Amino acid sequence: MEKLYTISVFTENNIGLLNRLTIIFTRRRINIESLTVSETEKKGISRFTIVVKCTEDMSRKLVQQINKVIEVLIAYAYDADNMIFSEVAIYKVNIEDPAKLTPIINLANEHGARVMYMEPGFTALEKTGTIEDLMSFYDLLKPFGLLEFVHSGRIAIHKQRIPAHELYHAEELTEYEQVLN
Amino acid sequence: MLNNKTMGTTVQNDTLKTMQKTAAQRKISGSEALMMALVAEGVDTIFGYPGGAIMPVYDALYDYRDKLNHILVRHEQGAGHAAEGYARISGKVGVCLVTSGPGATNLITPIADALMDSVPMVCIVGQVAKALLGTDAFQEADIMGMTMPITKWNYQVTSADEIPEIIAKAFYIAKSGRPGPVLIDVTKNAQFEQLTNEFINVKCNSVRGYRPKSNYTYEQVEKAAELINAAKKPFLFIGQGILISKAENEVRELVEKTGIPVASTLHGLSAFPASHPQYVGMLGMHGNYGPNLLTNEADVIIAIGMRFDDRVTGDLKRYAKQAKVIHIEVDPAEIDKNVKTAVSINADAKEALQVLLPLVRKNDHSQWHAKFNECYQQEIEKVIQNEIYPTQGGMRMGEVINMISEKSKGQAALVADVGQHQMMAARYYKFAHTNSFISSGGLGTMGFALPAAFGAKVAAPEREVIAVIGDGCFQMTIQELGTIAQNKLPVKIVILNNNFLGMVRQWQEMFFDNRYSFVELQNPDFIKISEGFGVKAKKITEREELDSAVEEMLASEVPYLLEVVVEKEANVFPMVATGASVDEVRLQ
Repeated sequence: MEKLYTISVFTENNIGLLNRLTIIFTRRRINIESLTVSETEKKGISRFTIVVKCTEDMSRKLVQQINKVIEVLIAYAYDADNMIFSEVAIYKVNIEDPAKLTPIINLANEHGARVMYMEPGFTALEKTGTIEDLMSFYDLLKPFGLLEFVHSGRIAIHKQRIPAHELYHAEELTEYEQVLN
Repeated sequence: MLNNKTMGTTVQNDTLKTMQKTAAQRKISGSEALMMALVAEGVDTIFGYPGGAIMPVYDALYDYRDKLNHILVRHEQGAGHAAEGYARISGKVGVCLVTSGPGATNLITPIADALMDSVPMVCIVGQVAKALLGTDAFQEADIMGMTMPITKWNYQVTSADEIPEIIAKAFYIAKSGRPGPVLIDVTKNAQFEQLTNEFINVKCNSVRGYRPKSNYTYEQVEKAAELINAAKKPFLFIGQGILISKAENEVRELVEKTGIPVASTLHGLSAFPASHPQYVGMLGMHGNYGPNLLTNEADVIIAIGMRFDDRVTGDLKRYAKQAKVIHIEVDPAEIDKNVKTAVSINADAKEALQVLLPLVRKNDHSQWHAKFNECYQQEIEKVIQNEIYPTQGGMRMGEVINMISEKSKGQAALVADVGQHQMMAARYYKFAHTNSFISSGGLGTMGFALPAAFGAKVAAPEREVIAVIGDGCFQMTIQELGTIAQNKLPVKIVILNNNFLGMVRQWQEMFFDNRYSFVELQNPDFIKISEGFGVKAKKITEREELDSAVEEMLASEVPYLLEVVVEKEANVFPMVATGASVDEVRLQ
């Protein structure tokens, strides 16, 4: 049965890594639902969060193939039950009619959204949550006139207590030995 | 990145030391650093082809001609396959050196081939200067992007200072764990530039995040031993992993102690002596009858250093469903990929076998063996007899291979191309010496054999190397006859000529209603061509000539080509048709 899997990948921060990872998915005709990359708290180590819809067997095979990439420190996949995850969305809402401002602000407060920016004519709201939360807030704002909407890819952490750096063995260095002098 | 341990235990190479000293006294270029790094890695041979973006390296090579034997091929694809042949017969890393753009793209097929067949190879390719990257400069190609999916690792060197460490890393990655091809793209400025500091010779021992070593528990091995000890119909499959980890003796010990019948994959051939009474033959589409049929009767399958390729398994849904599978494999991504295991041991074959051996009990399995014998008798009667001792019609490919096998006493290394002749070489040569079957298995690259054969000969000049090539394959890399002649490499070349693309023709006959769509070849005069290149050649058309022709070829101390005109429309059997189950193996 296909469902959403979140694959976390810790890698060296090298040129071409994104390409090395995405070809693993394209070759198997797996569409990437969302992809987020950024440097971790450890300099030189990046974290990819990739969401795919596939079978459990395929998610396991994808992780095995990702782990074969030399610069990958560790990769693992979890389903929604074993992850804590979130996305962020920005909503640009029309406020040409100043009377609409108060109900919009109230709606934002009720739903834990924040006003990021405002100028005569439009405001930008920010909200975090699951994609379902973000989309239901979208539906609420729609009647006011949405000018633009964007949401990020998923970021996620797993529900185990083990610290991430213990997973990817950051202390292991590439070892060279000097043979002759 | 460097730790400053001086390696007292490392063999001190005096030449290298002298080189090092002189080099330390002057500034050296990236190109010279590359030469020194290759020598430090123990490289003795480079297969290559020069061109614009690699010229500084070729200039440095000029001073290293006494240490690095460079073999000038006729096409970069030849360099790649030659490096593969060199690596396959010796277990050492094959090295090729080519220029940017078309030089690099011509290497793509051998690189893909080497990845599929786990061949350790380092390809050093030139690239336009760093400042020109991305400008569509002359002979610029995005070889990094192109080879990402087909290399074990690739890296673009853009400064001379990176060279010593990157070359050390390249060799370490290419040969450790499951071996594979590594490509190093060196921009021209990095070749010209001088190193900021003196050259330091480094060895790479580990790479962060890369864990090529075994990863298993003793309990898993115990569980495997329990299954083996309790099995009534155990069956052992061996693959190229045995050859790569040099576990031939351990496999033999396991087989003789447990009495288990053993079959080989195409790439596992020669890891176990073909004449051994417990050897039951080859697995796969054109493997032996018994091994295919009885795969679906075995209760325990022990697969070592193989990957359950679709040509071995046939229809996976009907493959060995009754069996508990024990998979010993160095690449964790292969475990449970195609066949679900009962016990998996992610380990180097030799290491795992050494732990397993004391745990298995002595056994006999003679009744189970009798089943294989029965199958073999049927196969002899329906297929083999007529293939190797035909009484009428044109010469058969199996007959030729059998003659070569007998005359060379199973001691030669066979380098087979791709197609019917490949299957015949695999089926009818009785391998008695390890590392003796070299062919393109995973990718099925026509044109592989001629360059791979001379590559193998360079690595193992003491061995008799015989290339078995079809008339179609031969014309894909025929120009490498020039390399063979120029370097006086005494390989023996057997052309099995049926004027057809035989395997495709067989499929068209069997599955496409005899519609022979573009499979008949109008061939040139191979003898004239061969002689034109300076390679001695002979053509035979009659059965009576075969015996003496093979003898003459084997006796030759110079490169020799023997063209054998064989039956035009012969088929390879047994056969597990595409989509069929292994127990649907056909004898005719």
